[in-house]
Formats: sequence, C-alpha cells, structure tokens
Amino acid sequence: MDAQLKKGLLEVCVLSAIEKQESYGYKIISELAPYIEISESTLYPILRRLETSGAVTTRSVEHNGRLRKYFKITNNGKTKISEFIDTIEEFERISNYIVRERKNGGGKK
Amino acid sequence: MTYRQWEWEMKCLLRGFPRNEARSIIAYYQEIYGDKKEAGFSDSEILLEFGTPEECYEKIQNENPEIAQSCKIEKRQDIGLLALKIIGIIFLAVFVLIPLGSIVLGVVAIFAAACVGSGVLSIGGIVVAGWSMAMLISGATFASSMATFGMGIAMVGAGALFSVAFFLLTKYVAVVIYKCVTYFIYKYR
Repeated sequence: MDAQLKKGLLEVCVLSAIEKQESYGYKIISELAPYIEISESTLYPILRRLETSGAVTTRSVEHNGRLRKYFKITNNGKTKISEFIDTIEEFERISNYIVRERKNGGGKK
Repeated sequence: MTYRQWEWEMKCLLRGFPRNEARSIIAYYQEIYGDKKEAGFSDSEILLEFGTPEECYEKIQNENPEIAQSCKIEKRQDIGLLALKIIGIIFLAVFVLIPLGSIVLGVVAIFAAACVGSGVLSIGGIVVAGWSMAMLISGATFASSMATFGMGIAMVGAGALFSVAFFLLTKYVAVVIYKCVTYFIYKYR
C-alpha cells in the first residue's frame, strides 16, 4: 500500500477504534492489527497528531501500579471520520468508473 | 538486550528532543511494554516488535518534522557546548581525577598491605608459639615460655582478625571504585 495513503488511513482507523469507547495504546494496536499493519512506533506519532489537532482527548488512569493513557474521540474526531467516509464514497465512484472503463476497453480489443 | 537497556538507549537518543516530548515518548513505550508483559509476551518478543531504539527514533523524527527541525537547531548549539565540555574534562582530569584516583588507589594499596601484614603477623605468632613450646619441652622456664606462648597466640588471633577485616575493606573499596567507574562509562558513552 502507498505510504501516504496508509498514513491517512491509519489516523481514521485509530479514530474508528476509539469511536465507540475510549481505549489505550496496546488495545488500539491489537484491534487494528487484523486489518492494517501498525506498529508501536507508528502509532505514537498518530496519537500525538490526533491529540494536537483536537481529534482526541487523553486521561491517565492507574492500572496495576502503573499509568495507562486512555484516548477518547472528540466531535472534531468524529467529523474527521465522516469526512473520510465521504471521501471514500467519492473514491469508490471514481474507481468503479476506472475499472468499468478498463473492462470495456479490454472487451473492445 | 533487556527492556531497561533498550529504554536507556532510547533516552540517550531523545536527549535532543524537548523534555516533555521525550518523557511522553518514554511513558508511551513503558505503557505498551507493561501491557504486553501482562499479555504474556517476553522481553525479546516485545523488543523485536518495538524495533531498535535507532529505528524507533527515526520513525518518530520522520513523523514529526517540527521536532526534527528543533533537534537540528539544538544539535548546532550542542557542538559548541561539546567543545567546552571536552576542555572542561581535560582540566578536570589533570587537576582532580588523576590526584583523586591516585589517593583512592593509595588507600586501596594501604588496606591490601595491611591485610598482608596481618597475615604475616599471624604466621609470626604461630612461629613464636611453636618456638616457645619447643623451649618449654627442652627445659626452659615455664613462666617465660608460657608468656611467650601466650604472646604467640595473641599475635595469631590479632593477625587473623585484622587480615580478615582489611581483606573485606580492600574488597569493598575496590568494588565501589569498579561500580563507580562502570556507571560513569555506561552513562556517558
């Protein structure tokens, strides 16, 4: 997958993972791993960017004598997911056109 | 490599980062490490997934260009500081470390010598006690032979006590010096 495309997808994937309920780093990676390749080192900058842009808020909770940081989606984050879905639908329309034209072009040959 | 070593190397690499950012990154990896340990992963498995500290550092820098820029500015300032540090270390070495090191080694040598001397005292005591017994058997005065014998036993006892004490003292000082040296080497390499 193209690196830039993957970068954009990962942010929305992370937001989707925490849309229903707040979550933490390891749990986010575990949830996303079956769908997209994501490592700990990749996740940190994404979470940082989302926090800086106001798409998520954070709180620290004590867990077994250590701190665990929970990420919760904001309205800004939910808007990003909606915008992404709109973009994907438009992309799907365009890609369907390209595939259809290719098939039609292949048939004419 | 253990996680502690990995974290130590990561902290060294993050020295150029703003302090809060570096703390946040370390806290993030500590949290993930703790969660993975709870999930049953071993240190080696976790570190394999993390990647080397250099790889993590590069990824974080690539994803955060504004931090990379501020690190470059800080690195330029660091070169001037490094030159001053080298000059400072040379002066420190010549006027402080070498004399201090000589004193410390001298103290260790004194304790070691005292340990050996106490051992020799014990041996001397054995010789004195043995000689006095031999004199008693060959017909010397009982009182004086017993006194000498007693003195010999006392020498053996004192020598044994002091040699053990000085041996432990020498060992303790040597271990402390070794640990201090390895700590500074590890910290500043």
